[in-house]
Amino acid sequence: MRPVEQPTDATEVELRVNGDAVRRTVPARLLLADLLRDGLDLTGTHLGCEHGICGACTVLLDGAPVRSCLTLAVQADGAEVTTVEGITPAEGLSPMQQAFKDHHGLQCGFCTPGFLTTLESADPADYPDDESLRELLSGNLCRCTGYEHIVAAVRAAWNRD
Amino acid sequence: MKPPRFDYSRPSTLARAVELLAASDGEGKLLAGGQSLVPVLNMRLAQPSVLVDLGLVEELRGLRREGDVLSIGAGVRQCDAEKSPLVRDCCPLVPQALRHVGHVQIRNRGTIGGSIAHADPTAELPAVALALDAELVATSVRGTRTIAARDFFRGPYTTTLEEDEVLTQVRLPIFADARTAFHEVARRSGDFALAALAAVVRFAPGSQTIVEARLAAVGTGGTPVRLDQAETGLEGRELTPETVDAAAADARAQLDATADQTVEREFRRDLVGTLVSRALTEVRP
Amino acid sequence: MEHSLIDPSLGEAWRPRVIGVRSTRREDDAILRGEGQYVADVRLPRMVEACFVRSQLAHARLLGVPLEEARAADGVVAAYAADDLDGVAAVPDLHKGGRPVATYPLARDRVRYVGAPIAVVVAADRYAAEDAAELVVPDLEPLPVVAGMDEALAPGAELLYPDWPDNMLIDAPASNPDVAEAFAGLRSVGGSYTIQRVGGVPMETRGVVADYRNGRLTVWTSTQYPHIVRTMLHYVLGLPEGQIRVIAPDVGGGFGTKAQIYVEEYIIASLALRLRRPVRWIEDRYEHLVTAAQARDVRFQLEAAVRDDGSIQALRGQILHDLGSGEMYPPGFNPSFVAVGMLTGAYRIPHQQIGVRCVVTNKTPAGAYRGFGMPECTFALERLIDKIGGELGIDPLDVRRRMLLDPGEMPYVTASGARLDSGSHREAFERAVSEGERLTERARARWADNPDVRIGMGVATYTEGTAANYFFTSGHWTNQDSCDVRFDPDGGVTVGVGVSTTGQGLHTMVATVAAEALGVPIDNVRVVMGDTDTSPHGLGGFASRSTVVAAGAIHKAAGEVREKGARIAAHLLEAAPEDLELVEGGFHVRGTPHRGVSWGDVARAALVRTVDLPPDVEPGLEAKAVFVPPGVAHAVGEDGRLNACPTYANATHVAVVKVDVRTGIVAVVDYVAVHDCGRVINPLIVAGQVHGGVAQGIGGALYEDFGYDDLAQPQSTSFMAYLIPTASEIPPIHAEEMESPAPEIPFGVKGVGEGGIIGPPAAIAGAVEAALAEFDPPELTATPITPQDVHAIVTAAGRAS
Repeated sequence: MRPVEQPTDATEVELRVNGDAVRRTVPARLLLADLLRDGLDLTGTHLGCEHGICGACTVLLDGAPVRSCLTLAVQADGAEVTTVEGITPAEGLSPMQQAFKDHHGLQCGFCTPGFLTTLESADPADYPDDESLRELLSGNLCRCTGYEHIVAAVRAAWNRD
Repeated sequence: MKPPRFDYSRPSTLARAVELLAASDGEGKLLAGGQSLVPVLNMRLAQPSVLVDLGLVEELRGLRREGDVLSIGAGVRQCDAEKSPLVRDCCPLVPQALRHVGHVQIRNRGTIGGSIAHADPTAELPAVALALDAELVATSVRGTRTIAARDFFRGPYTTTLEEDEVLTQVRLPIFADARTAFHEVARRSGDFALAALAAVVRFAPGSQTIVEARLAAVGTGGTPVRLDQAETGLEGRELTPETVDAAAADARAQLDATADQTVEREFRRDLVGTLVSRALTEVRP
Repeated sequence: MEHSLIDPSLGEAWRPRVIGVRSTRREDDAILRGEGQYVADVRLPRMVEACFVRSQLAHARLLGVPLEEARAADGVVAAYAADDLDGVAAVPDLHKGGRPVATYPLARDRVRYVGAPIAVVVAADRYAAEDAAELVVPDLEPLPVVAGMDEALAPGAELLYPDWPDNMLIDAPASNPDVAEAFAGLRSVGGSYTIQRVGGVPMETRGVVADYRNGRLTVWTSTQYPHIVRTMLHYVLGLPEGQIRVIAPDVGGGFGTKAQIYVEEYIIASLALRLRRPVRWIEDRYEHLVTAAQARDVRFQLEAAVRDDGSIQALRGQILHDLGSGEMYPPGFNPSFVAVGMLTGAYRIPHQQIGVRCVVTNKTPAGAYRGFGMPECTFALERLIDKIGGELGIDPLDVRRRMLLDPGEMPYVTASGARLDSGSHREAFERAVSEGERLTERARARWADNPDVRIGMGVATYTEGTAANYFFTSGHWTNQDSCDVRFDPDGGVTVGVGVSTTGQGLHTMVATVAAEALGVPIDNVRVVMGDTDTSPHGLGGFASRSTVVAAGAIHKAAGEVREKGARIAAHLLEAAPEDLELVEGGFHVRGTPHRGVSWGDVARAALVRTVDLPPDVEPGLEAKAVFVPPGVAHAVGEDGRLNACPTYANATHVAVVKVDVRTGIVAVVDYVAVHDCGRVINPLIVAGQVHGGVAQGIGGALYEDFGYDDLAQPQSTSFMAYLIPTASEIPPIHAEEMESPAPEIPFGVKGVGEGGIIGPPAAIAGAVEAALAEFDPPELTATPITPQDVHAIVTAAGRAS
């Protein structure tokens, strides 16, 4: 992050998004989610509430899951941002994505990228049982699945019975 | 739901940050993790002229032990405090409370100081600050001062910070002889509390006798409340089921004396009583 | 599994290959890779964005809408109020049930709920559009507010529609001499049961992108009804339907919320026409929570004439239903008529008499939500049965057992006229109860040491009408649907259907049914839906209908194509058609497996090497079919009865709850759903439907509430107040399938989409009541059951003792 010592309504950001260098001048108020979606056409990141509850917009900021609707694009200056597109292999699916498919862990899929990005950085050891796993997942709302198959998918991806 | 226009700055020093804030004439807002501010901006419930992003301010970082005090920079992220061995060893109440703050995505951005300064009446960290009698260090162009937690929370989303002041450090006393607990009742996982209780109980060495008890509750009013009556009643006593019950009753009695008599508040007062019992039961050596 | 039940026309040798197999979904790869195409992902050159100016008052006269300041604001392209939008007609009144409501896309003269659209601002992006919308301050003169049903019905109440004599959109009394007779001779037990306002609240909000070019209007909209949106756009905008193309792209959940045609769809489309550039409107969550259709909000007065053994001879009562302002198409009253139709559920209850009163108030207009009247009637009846058991000192489970229908009674015509075609009502009940009792014991053991915890179990049994006709409420469509099946020369098949998906997995369902019916590999089937230019006419996805009607249509079309294919194959093989049998991938001569041709051989002959065709066979290998579900009436008969559905699913749910009596927190710890949706096409998808419905039902039972204050200001305007359950609030769901094939529907399928949501309010209320038994709780007659409610019961008992 570089200093912006004089208040301004637009400023330059330089960041890496899914490994690619991005440099552009953005309005100060632009949400990171909108930079990704409308600025970079990375439409896998979804906006479900724009007030930080639903988790559909979750992306990794320097490796940690955050709400891209509660992060200004300018705050991502100098950061590495990873979206669902960035955790997807060139061909096929990642093991977690495959587990979601195998266990029907998605229906409409609108919330799914947020679950995947949240799980991408999670250390299974920090979530040893279903209760703690569900607590981890509780930052992402899903209206279709009732979570049962999502829990099953994560357990499978984490090699749990 | 998009933020209104504002100017943005990201000063590299605290001196510049307070200068920018002072220059905004009360129209500026500080931006730390943004987890409370950005939703408010998105809903256009606030329209600041300028945001002062504290993300680069070195003086707000750092977790240090200074003798019997744990100093947490206001800009320390909640996730970092939650996982810090130093914080866990010096002030276990902090990670105990942080578990209840939002969700992992929120704690990855949200800061310790941001949550305290935002003073949401049902937030967890203000209760921690109050229970530990934290010292809150604030800086402005006029200088630096220290505010006791008891003098800090004035009402819902309102503190005694002046509009040109930046909360820079949260200083928490370290009690080697204390056992702590944080209990909360919320509708859903990660929600703000219906009621929550931070308990710090110091015991005489090798005994159940209470040297000092500090209990801070949220959910029953506009600010966190110290349950002084219950605290006083516990001092010098052994922690038995009877004293636990008495403390819960004292807590209710103190809260009942407050003005707000709605059914919902009454319910929350009962919840605090229950949380007092549970927290005290948990801290029994 | 009897193969003959799959489809006798497939031949003796046929064994189901893909129907009934637990297989993954074809939809998933793109979505998982972040390549889904939702309406907000549509990108068009020169696209501008709209933001609505909405009423902040629940009831007011609209005196003026000053737009000058907004029009002059940075980035603004245009701003309009109702008077500026000539060419946009009122939404036509097509339904026949109640007093007509004139709904204008933008408010004229009066606003009747908070959130009613008053003006629309179009700007370079949403940020600029919101900036400008803030500058519009409509001139509103407040009117007295009707904040609920009791106010609406009070003498002298303010009228929402001044030309009406009262605030009732529908008043449909009922009478039945058999009911009067039953009550004259038997003990009566009754109560009043309330389900609060909730809604589908899909994770994707609504959204519309419209573009007019080359004389055609294209509208992408997040809807369950693409063809019906087209028809309604035609009515309101006056364009011929052929000039309109409606596309439902990937839809991020619907649940009935998107089974409405919304005023925003007309307005955004009209803006594209007017501005000649693409216009996008993506609803934000605040808008969604105050303007998208809300549902339930029903008070059900119900009384039973009870025999000595607890069984019910007759039911009588009345449904009071708060429709909000009523400005919604299709109108919101129909769930109450479904509640009348489905009331007696899986029970042998000979007579009923249920009146319906639908009231307008200054709340958000009511519409559809998954369950659609069935959670309401199930809650009322199941709670009443528990009460009967209590009053008579009979185990409520035994009361149910005395009334449960047996397979031998099928088809059974209920008191309302619903013709239950088949089902496993008793067996599903016994299995669920026995599993629930086991889990209850397990929970008791687990928390035996915790003095603050109580465990309870509650039961709900219901039938789910599937593929219902929708004539009464919509006024202009019924329940047919269609498909076309078209071979490519290489043997690939394209199947177009009129049903439309909101993420349930309908592409996989259609491909599975078509692959089964044609004997082609499932990967050779391409599915087309949700686009009025490319899919055949259909009504969309609602009322647990898609599998029933699509499978019916595919069955019919595939049969025609198979027959033609067999004739061509026979010619190519120099055999008689009757000597051929269909096998995976093609045809061969019965008993001579090496003498065969593939579908590719047949299709090539039919389409590109037509010289190979038999002389009496025309080129081409395709068929279209319309399926009309059998046995369904469109109007109430002279006996006051109506069968609205061709087939009925059934289920019993058991909730096991853990109540913390000190905090009032109720946690559902286990949930059992033994359900029967006839032939299962894909067990994985069926389980997903049940789980998702149950989770929404738990949300309604314990968490969600569209509350309003005395001025009808909505209280749940964010996800901090409208509490959708997270993974931590939803327990393991034990779903078990039974299979009673629908005897009159191809493949024996029934719908399953709505089932899960029907049971939870009743089962959870029963479970909480049981858990609190020692506190002598009053009957729990309303949802949501909050911690404060539980706390009040426990403290009242403490004061009493």
